[in-house]
Amino acid sequence: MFSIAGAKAQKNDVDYNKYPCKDAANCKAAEPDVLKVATILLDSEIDRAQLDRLNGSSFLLRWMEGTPDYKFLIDSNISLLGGDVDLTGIYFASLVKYTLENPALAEDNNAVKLGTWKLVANYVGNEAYNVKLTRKLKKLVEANNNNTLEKFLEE
Amino acid sequence: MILPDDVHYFGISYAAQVKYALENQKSVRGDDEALLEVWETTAAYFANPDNHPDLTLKLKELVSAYKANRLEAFIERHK
Repeated sequence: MFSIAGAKAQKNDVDYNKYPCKDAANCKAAEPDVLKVATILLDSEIDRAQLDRLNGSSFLLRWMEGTPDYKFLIDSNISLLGGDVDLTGIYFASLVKYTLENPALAEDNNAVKLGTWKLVANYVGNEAYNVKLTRKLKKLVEANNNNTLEKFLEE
Repeated sequence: MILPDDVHYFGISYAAQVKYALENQKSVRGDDEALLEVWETTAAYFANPDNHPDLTLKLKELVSAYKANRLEAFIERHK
């Protein structure tokens, strides 16, 4: 199971097989566990238990593709992550977590984008999670720390 | 951005990232060769008519670059 870095991290006991996400009701039923997995991914080191993390991220993607209640858009800043599967999983987790925790803003693409990348920046900038920062990621973290994230994402 | 912003398209790219990680026991982590391999897998999917891909203009360019062995330069231009 996931390695836990944060004191508030939950145990991942989610049974992914319960949620094929083939219909609206199943996707809706999955939401609490989707949020739970996203939170666990964002509260554990990036370099541990990779297969568990991949399974968790794949579950999030399956739900995002299946749910009719939300429309998820991938913005062009995804290139900041350099095609790295572990960082992409963090992006998925951030996108899902922000959306489910802020349903009133779910259709505000700018709010979702900013909220998502704030979560990504907080994660990669936290040394406890062992993310090796590329030049682009360092700039992302700096922008977040300097409160210039919105401008940075538009550049 | 090469891929459309629709999460369904991005699922193909993510599958390619997962494939690379599982086959190589490591993630891309800023390695250009690894990233190229991920894009080769992604492009191969969209180049295969059996997969019935709905190609945007940019994806058509990706497929063309892949078939012409110009994928590396194409990816470099879109970094």
